[in-house]
Parts: sequence; structure tokens; C-alpha cells
Amino acid sequence: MKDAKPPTNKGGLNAEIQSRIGHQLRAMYDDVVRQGVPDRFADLIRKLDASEPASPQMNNTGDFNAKNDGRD
Amino acid sequence: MPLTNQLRDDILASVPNLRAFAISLSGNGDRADDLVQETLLRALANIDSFQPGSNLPAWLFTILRNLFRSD
Repeated sequence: MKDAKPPTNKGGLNAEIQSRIGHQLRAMYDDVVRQGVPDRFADLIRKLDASEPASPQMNNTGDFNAKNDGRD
Repeated sequence: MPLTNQLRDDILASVPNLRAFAISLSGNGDRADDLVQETLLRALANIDSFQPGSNLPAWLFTILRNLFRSD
């Protein structure tokens, strides 16, 4: 990096720098958002969901229409 | 509200934006993903306090920002 600095307003970034930062931020955002949901997070949610204790009003059989199909 | 399948899917759908937000805060991809993970854990632990119909991404972003500040 050279020492030459673009002119800056006192106490602020000049428009060119602001614009460049804006573009880079947007590019970073787009890039990250395009990556979708990494497995790490999908797995985490799935595990938490599975280990979630049943809420009091619901039984924990995982069978919402428990009708006792032919088993006594 | 309780964690419905819909709500869980909506939370997952927010992950890409949460990651981008976390990177913009922390400037570090690994740290950002840790922040997102903490955010998901906290969101699910407090899911009962989420008001149905309110802005889910905004709620998640707030959690993430608070976690970032508290570190």
C-alpha cells in the first residue's frame, strides 16, 4: 500500500470510499446468501428438534393420531 | 409460540441472511458461524417468547446482535 490517501472529509469517509464499502458489503452478502444453509445448521436444528422435550399438552409418541392400530 | 414445523423452516430460511449479518459484524467467517449457532440455540430456547405474526428475521437479527455485543 502506498501512502497516498484520497481526500477525506473531516470526520467522515468520502463518497467514493463509502460507495466502495457498500459494493463490497453487498457482494459479500450476496456471496454468503448464495451459499444457502450449511449442513451444520440444518443438522443442529434437526437435533434440537428431536431432543426437544414434548410440550405438556402433547404426548411424546410421535404419533398424532394414535389409534392403537391392531396392537393390544 | 411453540415451535411448529413452519416456524422451524422459517428459522432455517433465515440462516443465510443471519450469516451474512454476522460476518458484517464480526469480520470473521468462523466467528460468524459460531454467532449464528448461538443465535439459533437461544432462539429455540426462547421460542415461546416469539410473538406469532411478528417479524421473525428481525427477532433473530436482534438476538444475534445482542450476542455479538455481549462477547
